[in-house]
Amino acid sequence: MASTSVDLGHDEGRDGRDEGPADFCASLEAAVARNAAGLDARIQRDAIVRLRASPGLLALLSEGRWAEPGERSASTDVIQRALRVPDMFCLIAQPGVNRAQTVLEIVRSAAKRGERILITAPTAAALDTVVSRLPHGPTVIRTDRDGHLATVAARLQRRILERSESSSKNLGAWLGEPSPAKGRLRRLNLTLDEARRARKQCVTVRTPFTELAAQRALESAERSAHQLARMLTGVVPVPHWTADLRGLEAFAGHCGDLEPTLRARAGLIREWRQRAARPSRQLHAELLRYADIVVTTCLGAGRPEHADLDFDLLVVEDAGRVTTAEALVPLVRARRAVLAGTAARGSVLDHVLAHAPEANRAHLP
Amino acid sequence: MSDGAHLPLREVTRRVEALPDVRPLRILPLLLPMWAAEVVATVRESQPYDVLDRYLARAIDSGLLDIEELATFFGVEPAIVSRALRFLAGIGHLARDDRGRLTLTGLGRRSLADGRRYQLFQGRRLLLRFDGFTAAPVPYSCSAGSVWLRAPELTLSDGTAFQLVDGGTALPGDAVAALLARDDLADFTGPVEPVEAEQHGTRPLWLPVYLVECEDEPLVFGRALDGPDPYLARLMVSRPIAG
Repeated sequence: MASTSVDLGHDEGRDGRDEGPADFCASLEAAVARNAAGLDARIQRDAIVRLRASPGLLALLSEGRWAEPGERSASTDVIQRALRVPDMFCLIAQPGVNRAQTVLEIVRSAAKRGERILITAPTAAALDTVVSRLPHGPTVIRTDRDGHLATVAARLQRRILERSESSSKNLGAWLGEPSPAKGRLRRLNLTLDEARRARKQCVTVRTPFTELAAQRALESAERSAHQLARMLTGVVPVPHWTADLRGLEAFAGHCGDLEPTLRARAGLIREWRQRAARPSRQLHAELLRYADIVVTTCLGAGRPEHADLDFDLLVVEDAGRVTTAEALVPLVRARRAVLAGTAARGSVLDHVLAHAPEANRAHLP
Repeated sequence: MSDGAHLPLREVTRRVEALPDVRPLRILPLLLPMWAAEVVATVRESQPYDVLDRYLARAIDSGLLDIEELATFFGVEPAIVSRALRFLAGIGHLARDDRGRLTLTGLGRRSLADGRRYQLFQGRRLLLRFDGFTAAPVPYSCSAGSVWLRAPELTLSDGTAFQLVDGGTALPGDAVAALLARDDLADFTGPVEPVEAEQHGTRPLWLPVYLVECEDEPLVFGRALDGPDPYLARLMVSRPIAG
């Protein structure tokens, strides 16, 4: 998707920030009509529709109204400043100045804070530099490259299978009807019944035989309890229990209460692993919705699979080569944005910088 | 009116002739009196679950209640679990109980039980349609693809004139409430189910249909179905048509 340069201010013969919101949207629409066609034009028009429903962004772009900074800081650190502004931050670098490291630090710090980040640029080539240096750890999905989403999904599925293996193993004893755990629980209850009966007999006819029977039943119950305790290990916290009749009864009651829940969980983890073992396009939509970092071109952010996505932070790399209408496509999907690049006439960076307060801009030396 | 307003008579004739064991006597183009209640409603829309959202909801239902626990159980990164939970909370499926633990809401439980991801939307304007004879709601299968006229007149470009059927009655004031209380509400509203509705008006509508009188049972053709519409046939039972 090629970047088309539109100078809104000059095209309309006036400074865009002096327009009202309605005029501003109309001038954007006119610019799109002149400079884009087909899918690109439709994507930008959709973004303008969404802009109309985003009062904060519309006020910033059309009237130069910036949000009050929530937290003032004396920090001179560009990364901290970029992360702190509530709306938009401009990171300006003259040609030849390396800004990639600063952009990456902003992304890394935001990801560390648990933010969901969208990284865009006018072209896939401009994204390559950033993507190749992204930190390991966060889930990164690049939607401008065919097959990348499927590759990440397959990788995630493999990781799920590896990491859920212990959950599955631990719950294995609770799976089935009757499960081995349920069989053991039944055995525990039977031996406790025997122990109670033998105890009763001891009260009426105290003989060495009845005492021995009571003792043996209790020992058998204790063995069952130990086995059940092993089956609970790694699944739920194993309660403290004692090897007397009352302690064993309490433990059996506890296991009886847990059994339906653990049986359900055992079935759930088995299904989940079966699901993870087969290729699934169904996961793709969710991966895009929940990934830490999504990377695509500015216009790529308007593709249907991004329709309902939203992000905590947008980074527009090479924003000096992106028009306002193009930049809108990712901007309407994010709560905050960092525009990085060399301010060129007619670009979104140029447009925003014209009225950006000092707190919302930084020049890289 | 153009032919686009309804099937032309020749098309209905062709369809009738294609039916086995049907001996038509005559075909009558009719306009049936109907009602439309205009409501502003909170609606429940349903979508299929994705993957993780459904499994997470099931796990929460089985007592796994925090992010770390869920992440370990499923073998998924906590950040992904956290965002998926945020998504479920955002569509009203999850809440925190008074001890701060995750819990499924009524909507979440119902979604899980039905295997469909429901979401509530407020302020939707809907038209709920009722027949003009018995004030019973019109099934979605008929209302969705039918032609609805605001005036009791229709003449197609081939000259077919539709004759108004008399005998319409007023729409009772509680018709909308009675519809919303039905267990089979979705049969009448389709995938967008109103759960609460405020009625803003009522207006008459007319439904053009072809009544095909046969040697046996009559058939009725509307626009919504390719073949005879059993609902319309039931509606027309015991309504003798003059002529």
